[in-house]
Formats: sequence, C-alpha cells, structure tokens
Amino acid sequence: MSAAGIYVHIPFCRSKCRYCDFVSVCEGEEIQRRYISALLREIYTGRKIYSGAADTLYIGGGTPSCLYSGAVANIATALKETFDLRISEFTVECNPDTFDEDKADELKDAGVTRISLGVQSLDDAVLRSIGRRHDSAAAKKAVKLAVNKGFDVSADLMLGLVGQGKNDIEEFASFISAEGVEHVSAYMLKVEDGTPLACDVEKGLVLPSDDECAEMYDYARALLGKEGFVRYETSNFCKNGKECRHNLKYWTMQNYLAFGVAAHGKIGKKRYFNTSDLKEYVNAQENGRHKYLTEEILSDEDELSEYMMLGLRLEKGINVKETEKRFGICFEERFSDALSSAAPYIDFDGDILKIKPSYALVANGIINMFLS
Amino acid sequence: MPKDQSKIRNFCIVAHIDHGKSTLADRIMDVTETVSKREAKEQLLDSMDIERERGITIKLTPVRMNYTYNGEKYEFNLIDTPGHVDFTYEVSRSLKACEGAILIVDASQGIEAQTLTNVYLALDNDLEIIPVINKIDLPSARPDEVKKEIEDVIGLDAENAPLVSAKEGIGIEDVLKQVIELLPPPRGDYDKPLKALIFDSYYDSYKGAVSFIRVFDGKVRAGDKVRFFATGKEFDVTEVGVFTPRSTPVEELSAGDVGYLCASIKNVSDTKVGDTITLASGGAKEPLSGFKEVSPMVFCGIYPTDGARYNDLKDALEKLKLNDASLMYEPEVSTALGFGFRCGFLGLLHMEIIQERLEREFDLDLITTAPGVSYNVVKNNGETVLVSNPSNLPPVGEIDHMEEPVVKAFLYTPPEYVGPIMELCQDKRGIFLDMTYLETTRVKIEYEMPLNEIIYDFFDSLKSRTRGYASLDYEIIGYKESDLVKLDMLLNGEICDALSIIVHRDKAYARGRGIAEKLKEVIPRQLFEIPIQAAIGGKVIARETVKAMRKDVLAKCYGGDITRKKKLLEKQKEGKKRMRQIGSVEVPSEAFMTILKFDK
Repeated sequence: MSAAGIYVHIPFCRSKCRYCDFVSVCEGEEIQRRYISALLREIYTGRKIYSGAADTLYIGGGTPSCLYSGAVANIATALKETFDLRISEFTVECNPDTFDEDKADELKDAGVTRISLGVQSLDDAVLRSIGRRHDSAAAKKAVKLAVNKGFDVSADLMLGLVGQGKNDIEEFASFISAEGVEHVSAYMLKVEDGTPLACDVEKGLVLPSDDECAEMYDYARALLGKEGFVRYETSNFCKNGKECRHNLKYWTMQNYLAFGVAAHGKIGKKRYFNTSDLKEYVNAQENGRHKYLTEEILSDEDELSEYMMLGLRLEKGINVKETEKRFGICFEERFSDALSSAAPYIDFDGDILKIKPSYALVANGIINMFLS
Repeated sequence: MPKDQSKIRNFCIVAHIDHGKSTLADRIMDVTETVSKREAKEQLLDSMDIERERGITIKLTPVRMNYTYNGEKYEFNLIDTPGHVDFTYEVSRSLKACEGAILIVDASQGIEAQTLTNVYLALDNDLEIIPVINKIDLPSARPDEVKKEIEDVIGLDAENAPLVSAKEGIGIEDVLKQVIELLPPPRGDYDKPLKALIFDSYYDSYKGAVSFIRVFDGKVRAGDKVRFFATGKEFDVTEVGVFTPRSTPVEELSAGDVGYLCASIKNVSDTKVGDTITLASGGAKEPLSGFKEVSPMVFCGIYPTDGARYNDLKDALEKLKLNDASLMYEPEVSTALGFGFRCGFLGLLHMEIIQERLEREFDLDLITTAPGVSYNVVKNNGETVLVSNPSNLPPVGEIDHMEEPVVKAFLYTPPEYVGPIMELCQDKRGIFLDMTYLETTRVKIEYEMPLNEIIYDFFDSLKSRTRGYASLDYEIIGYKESDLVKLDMLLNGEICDALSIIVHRDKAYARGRGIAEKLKEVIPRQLFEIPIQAAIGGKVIARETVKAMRKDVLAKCYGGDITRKKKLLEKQKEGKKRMRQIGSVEVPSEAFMTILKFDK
C-alpha cells in the first residue's frame, strides 16, 4: 500500500465568511490551546488505527494561520513522533489577513512546504460582500510573501460571486501567474443551508445563474490555460506538475488519516469521522473517551462507486487496468450500460475513461450513470 | 301487510361542498338515536377515506331512522347524494327516490353554484324543499341576508327556515319537525305490481351486487323472482333489508320503503342505476321513467410509473370496477410509457377520484395521460371506428372525416356573468342555442358544445369568470362532424405517443404552442439541448428548446468529506427515478399531466 495522507482540522477563524458552513468558530487563545492539546492526544493515540507510512500532511480549516504561534509545530512534532512520516508535501491553509512575515517563518520552521491561500477574489467590493477580512492589497501581499519565502503556493479563486466581473478573473490570473503561483483551486459559490448567505438569498439576494457561473468557470479555465495552468481536477489547476498530492489521495481513494473535530478519514475499507461539536470533541479527548461519530466499512460496491465518482473528476480519468486489478472486475462488462449511455460525453479507448473536458461542469449527471 | 305510508318521509340533503351536509346528517342520526354515541364515527355516511378528505360524497348511502313526534312514530329514510356534475345522473336518480329535500345553505357563504345545480335537479324531480341555514354559530353568520338570498335567487320561501348549527347540534329538532310537517309522504300503491328504482349499487364479496332501491308500488321479499327492465335479466331475491345504517334484513320492502335488495348478482353492471325492478311474473308493464345507460365520456391512459407493477395496477382496476359499473378499462401499450390501460370515466372528477384511489388504496405510483373523448372516425372505405386513444387514429390518408361527441350545456348564472360566460363558450367552440330569464336574478343559457372542450379546464374557467356563481350541467346529444387533427409532441425529434392529443384544427396551433411551453417548464435541463416540437401530420407548428445544462457539479471535496458529495449524487439519482425515459430524454411524470392543466 502506498503511503497515506494526514489531514488535521483547525476549527478556528477570526470571523466567519457569509457563505461558509464548515466547522469553525471564532475563539481566543485559551480555547485554541485546549483544542490543540485535545488534538495532540488524538494524534498520539492514532497509532492504534494506522501504523504504515504517511507522506503528505494537510492542515485545513477554518483558518490554521490564525492559530497561536507554535501550534503548527506542535502538531507536526506529534505526527512525526507517532507515524512513519516521509513528508513530500506539507500544506497549511492560510488567510491573507493572518499570514505575515512571522507566520511565514514559523510555518517554514515547522516544515511546511506549501501554502494554500484563500485569496478568493481581487475585487475589494466582492471580498467585502462575502465577508472576507482581507482586501485585494492584503491578498497580493500575502501571495508575494509566500512565494518569496520559498513555499509552493496555491491560491483559491471563487466564482459566481455577486458583482464579480470577468475583470476580476483576468486580474487574478495574470497576477498569480506573474508572481509564480503554481496551483489554483477555482470553485463556484454554493449556497449552504443555515449560512448568512442562505439568509440573504431568502431575503431576495439574486445570485448569478448556473449559466453565468458556468460562463465564469469557462472563462477562468481559458485564462488560466493561457497562463500555462492545466486543469487536473474539476476545480483544480496547476503548472509544472504541481498537483496537490494530498488531495489526489482523496480523489484516487488512497488512505488518509484525519484528526480534529469534523475530520474525515479513510483507511483501507474503513471510513470514519469525528463529531463536529467542538466542545464534545475536546471533552471526549480530555476524559480519554474519544470515539468516532461514525465508522463504516465500505462495501466493495460503495468503494467502487466512490472510486468512479472521484476518478471521473480527474482530468487524467480512470485507468481501466488499475481499476480492474483493484476491484477484481471486468471494466467493460461491469459498466457496459453506462459506457453506452455516457458515450457522447466521455473519452474511452479501452485503457482510460474520462469525461470530455467540455462536460466537466455537468460531470454529476455523467458520473451518476456509472453508479449502481 | 301494507305499511302506513303517511308515517314515512324519504328525503335527501342537498348542499354545496363544505356547507355541512354530512355533519347535519350525523346530527340527525344522533337525535334519532340511529347510532349510539359510542359507535358514531364523524360523518358516518361518507365511508371512503377519500370522501371524507375531500368532503365530497361519491357513494350514496341511505339510512333508515325512527323518530317520535307528537306521540306518533315516524320512519325517515335519508338518502345522501353525490355533489358533482360528473355524477349528475346518479344525483337525479337518488333525488327521484325521495319526496323532499333539505337544502343547506351556509349562513356566512350564502348560495353557491353547486347548490343551485342540485336545487334545480330537485325541483325538476318535483321535490318539496326545506331550506336550512347552517353554521349560525360562526361570527360571520348573516342568516337574514342568506334567507333573502334564498328567496331572491331560488324563489323558495325561507321565512321559516330553521337556523342550525350542525356542528354544535343547534336547531336539529326544528329540521325534523319541518321534515314531518312539510315534506309529503310517499303515495305508492301496495297492491299494484312491484316497481322499485335502483339508485345505487355496490359489490359485496358475500352477497354479490347489492342494489339500493326505492319501492314505488307493490312489495318484494326474499324468494321472489325479479326482473330488471334494462337488461331483461331475472334473479331470485336472496335478501331484502334496510340500513340502520348497518344493513339489516327485513321480511318485506313495500311501497314507500327505501332499502336494499340482494339476488346473488355477480356483476354490478347488471344493477344499473336508474333501472326499475319488477316481479318476473305479473310484473309491471312499464318501467319508471328516466333511465339512462351511463357510458364513459372521458378517457385517459393510466400507467404504472414502475413498469413492473403492471399486474398490481390490473388487479386494482379489477377491484374498483367491482363497485363502479361506470369505470371502463382495457389494456394498451405506449412506446413512451410501456404497458398500461386506457380507462373510461364519467367525467374529470370521476377520473381524478379513480386515480387517487388507485394511488392511495393500492399504493400505486401512476402516470396519467391527458384526458380525451372518443371520436367516430369514418374511413374512406366507409368503415367507422371509435377511437379514444389518439395513437390508434388511422393514417390521415385513410380518414374521410371525423366526428366528435357534442353536448347540450345548460349554464345557470346570475345575469351579470352572462357576458363572460358567452365569451368562454364561444371560445370553446360553443354554438349558442337559447337564453331564458328564470327569475330576474337567474339566467339559463344553453349552448351546444364539443365535449372535448368541456373536459379541458372548462369548469375552472367558468368558476373563475363567475366567482363560482355559475353552474353547469350537460347532456350528450350525439356526434357531429368536425375538423379534427392529431397533435403530436416531439421530444428531441421523436414523437412521444403519450403526449399526443386530438384537437380541433383551429385550436391546434395555440394548444401546440401552449403544451410546448409547459413542457419546457417541466422538463429539466439535460446534458444536451432538447428541441420540443408540436406537429400536425409531420408539419411542425411550434417549437421550444430546453437548453443543455451547464453546471451540476459541487465545488471541491473538503477534507476528504466524500459522504457529502455522495449524498448530493444520490439525491440527483433519486430524482432521476421519477423520470420517464422517452428516447434519449428524461421526462418527469408530471409532464404528462401538464397538458391537462393547460388553460387557453
């Protein structure tokens, strides 16, 4: 089995963005410290569930960069002491408003190799409207800093925001390319229940239509392409082969461990996740009574479905021989109906199956044909 | 033994839906101690769930009650009536079984359209009418105005109308007093040959088809051999009885009585509503007047959403048919929808009720095609075929001409709505026949109209144009030649047979465009562009396009949370299950009904 990835969730932000429904709260250092010590406990007991090697680390959130100084290093140390780490990629998600010179140095010292920056837009009005704390100047400064400090940098771009024009995408693409950023996650705004944005929509806020979003996406893809970025997953673009190795483990159904509140892991056929209640998580760790909220053993059928669902979002598609070997199936037999009904939308040569790039945004409908 | 008919009162209750007919019936049963409080189920007469929920009566249930007034014992037979134009014939038969009617008018709503239809039916049947003002307990009650309305609009003396709250049990005794004092007793002749009217029937798995009868002359007992006029068939009577409201056998039913008759009849279609029963030997020479053969007028295709449940649908139809002689069905096959049935109904409400009962009582998921009528198609070779399914229409080249069923429509309305009604009828290809002022406040308008036009949203349009005040009744007068065409709908270039309709040439363009627009709304965007076309004989007359879907994917997979994404996919997949695959296009089940709801 190839080396696993490790995901650590940091549920803190300095403030909540209007669209966000991820598990994160705005808390001071005291709570942060209690959380981190609970998290370290979970990590140190992690050997019970996995004893193989791991080669990618990903600290996401929330806003890991808003943690008190030293926290990331503590996490890294705990992981090193617990697992057979052979780090090839160590990503931390950062927000421009909490990523400064000191933070950059601290992360560098902790062994971080890659910074994923929540730029989202370079239009100040748009950034304000979605409740981001930074403006475009701060975002640009953070990008430059991360690149100058020698990190691999990924920049997030949101599409389909109210008031967002094509000029925003143009500016984003040319700026990050010029600064040497080699990875972009470009994803479309989705209204999640219970968020302030959902409230706004209920009160009459009109969001760009699906067609407009699709147009923005196509435009972003074209511009990024012009700047030398290739799309390797529905929402992810990179230059010079700088794919996110950690995320690829999700998308190719490799093993990944997960620590922290609301974190999801998968080892072999087992999928598990932690409670999303911060208090519950911390208390359970402190009392030594931690258990996963859910643990399920994937059936072969489920595993194959997920494998297809994720693999078809990849530009390189699904390798037929690998799939046959992994699941012990005859690919063309197993998917004969799907292959024929999806024929207009896929490229299939017997070795590789992939969705035609022009259908990337309607992949769900096509993927569904391959699910039992 | 001849009964003292002067102590019998046979009556029914007519009312608009919701004005409290069933509640009043329940209270009358309370007061006459017909059902003990313990066994009294709310609204006992409406026995089907669907009747109770919709507040309508479909099956008629007569009840016998005893009541003592001024020391004299009286026998009441209360006959419930259905309240919809589809069942006008049934209503008129059950009215015929009575001498009088209680007319309930809601004290706050006043007179409404349906009230009038049934009042006029009752007057046509020479019934004595007692107006009753109900719901006087409501704060919005305005009994005096409503009384005046009854006098002005219907012309009945409402001065002494009992003021009632059926819900609260107020004024019920007043009603019964008037029933005795104002309604005439039956005046049959015990010694004449048997004449009994069938006003309803139902199927009992032990007793066979049970007829609900009103005896006009003579008598009938178990052991008698009886003859049914309409079919000429003879049966041995196995049981006669009355409803209390449970069926209770009696020795004899005689002139003036209301009750039931069983004769080991296997088929409800042998007990036709409106038919007359007499004795096989020495029977009456002439039947009672007014019998009509009821035949289905509205047809549609009914298919199981899940093709595997075809047999369940078949069983369900068989069961419903046992109790409903007017329901017709035969198997049909659609390229779009698979195996199903072409079903015939008395009218749109009848159709809706059957569909709802199939779905509810038999737990079936159905797709229903647009309702239509049956056409006479005269071919070039002189042969005539009856076509109720547009797909069975012979090729245009073989058709000499087509004929469609035509009705004489009677519309009753306050004068201020005459204009809008005439406009509506003209628009529906109506031919004006006559208009008479029944009173200063009531006009009767007669139109000759194609039935085909009435079954599409005519009621809804009529109601909305007259604020519900106009009422409609119609009778079939025959078939008339008409310039009809088959309108096909094409999805992505393929004809969808389940969406085809037969329509008048002048209406085809508007209908085609309307349906195409509706389909565009209900067919979700798919991976490719879908042209929707309306065509007559290969010539496209309207086109809409469902644009290809541009986006259906989620953003990134967060922290390995694949469950979230999977759920979304599962939800999308679940949605697909409710779709029908027509060629390459996925069509939601409700699309087939949209052409029914089409207004214009």
